Amino acid sequence: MRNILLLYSKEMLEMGRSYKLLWVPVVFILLGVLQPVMMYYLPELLAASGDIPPELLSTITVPSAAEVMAQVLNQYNSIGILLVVIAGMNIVAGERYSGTSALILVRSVSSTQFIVAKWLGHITLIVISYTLSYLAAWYYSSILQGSLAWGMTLQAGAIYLGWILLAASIVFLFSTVLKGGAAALASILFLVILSMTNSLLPSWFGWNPARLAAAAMNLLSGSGSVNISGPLLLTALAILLCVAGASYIMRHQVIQDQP
Amino acid sequence: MIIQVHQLTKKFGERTTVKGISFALEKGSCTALLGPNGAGKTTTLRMLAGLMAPTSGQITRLGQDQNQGRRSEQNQIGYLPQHPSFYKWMSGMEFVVYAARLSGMSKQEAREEAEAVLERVGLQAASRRRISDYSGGMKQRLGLAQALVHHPDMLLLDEPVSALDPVGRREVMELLQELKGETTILLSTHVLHDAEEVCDRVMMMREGEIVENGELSDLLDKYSLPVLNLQLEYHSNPSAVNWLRSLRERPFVLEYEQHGGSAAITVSDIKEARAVILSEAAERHIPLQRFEAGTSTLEEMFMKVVQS
Repeated sequence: MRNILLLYSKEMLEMGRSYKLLWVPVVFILLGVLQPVMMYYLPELLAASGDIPPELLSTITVPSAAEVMAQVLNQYNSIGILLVVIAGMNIVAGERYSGTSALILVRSVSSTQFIVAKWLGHITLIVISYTLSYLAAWYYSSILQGSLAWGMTLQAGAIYLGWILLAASIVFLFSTVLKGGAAALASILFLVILSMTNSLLPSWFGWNPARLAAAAMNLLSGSGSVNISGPLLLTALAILLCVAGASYIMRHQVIQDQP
Repeated sequence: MIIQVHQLTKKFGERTTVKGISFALEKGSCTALLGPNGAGKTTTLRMLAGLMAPTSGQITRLGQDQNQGRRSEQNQIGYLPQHPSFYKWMSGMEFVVYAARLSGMSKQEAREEAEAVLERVGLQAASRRRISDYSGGMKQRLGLAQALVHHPDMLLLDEPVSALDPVGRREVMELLQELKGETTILLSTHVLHDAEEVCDRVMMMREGEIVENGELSDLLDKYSLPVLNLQLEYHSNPSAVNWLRSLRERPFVLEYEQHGGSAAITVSDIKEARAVILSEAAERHIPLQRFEAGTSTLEEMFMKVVQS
């Protein structure tokens, strides 16, 4: 426990010194805020471009705040996930291939402690970024598009967090096996396959974690609720498996001690 | 006995880098691991440090078998890789404190020990600077500092001085001299002179096998050439030259070669031969200019072992 705490505070210090603790939340917040602002100004932007006939313009309806929040989640699903992957792709690989982990792992530090601390660090970064971004999007859309139901918005945000955490854990696992770019590619491919199977064959795999993302969006856009206990359970299990797998791989890997 | 290695083997696919080596290290000894490039020295050290699981064989430390990966008792190891890499965003001080704390020291203790060890390796002035600003030699010293900070009872050093300039090398050698006795040291090196200076035991590896292992002095004896070289002063008196010539008849002489006032004598027992010749030369006031009993240097021994 003591070691995990030491390793974790080093992770946080490193993220602070490399400004990762700054840029990832900032980009995430921009991504969240962009959607409500865009939707607010969309009619004016279209009108200003001048090429659109007034009849068409009048047919454009301003979306409700909840719909905008669903669109925000949709943004997270593409660019947000990409950010999570980029922020995490070197998290273990960086230390493994540069050789810094060797000087740590010869001490009384187990691979599991090393991995758990790193995972906690990454998860902290992602939770902070996502939460701030979601709150900012909530704030802007409630100002620009109208009020949002507290319970529903909170619930949707929490459900979607499950999917984000899974994405972060998948990248983490892949970064233990592969070098940065390859880890990113593999995790994106994996997450895309999960999302695709969910949207193309929704009935086939009821416990698909990607269902969490869909369920959160459905909840906001009001198109019916889905039972998500299965996906939630599987997501939690998958996250645990990612950490356990990463720690197993780390223990059985040759630890490089020089670049 | 602090560590015992039995039939240690490491395979990388088809290639066997370490071929079933066995040895033991005594507490407080300093052993040099010598061998040409690719002999398996680094692989051996990394297995001892627990960074690499052996394909087969056992490493037993202090009565405990710890073949199964990394475990907590490795706390007692200090390891310096050949090209250590650090968190460049930390200062030297921060890194050593971090390393000490991960080895179980309290915050206060880690700070004190780190300061002491940084001074010992000559980095106290640069201890607050970021490691990204350090030169190669400074990084090597920092590597040594992190290996020493928790007072390990075994130090594994992979080429500890090869990246240093002559001054730095001198300082590190002196530091190792101090550490000898309190810590068991196993160091790999190409610099034979350094090995000769600090180590009392030598292990030579070639193609993954230990080809020689023993006390440095014993090995030097074993590989010393049984040849005596003598040279008399020019214009020596005829009786001296006659004495020199008469050496040919001694029982211990195997071969004899003479050119004027100098002779190369291959003998069966170098100790006896040396004693006899020196005492006779002293008795007869032989004007000896040069006398050499052919002990080979570590370098000659190294060449012989490696090429045989």
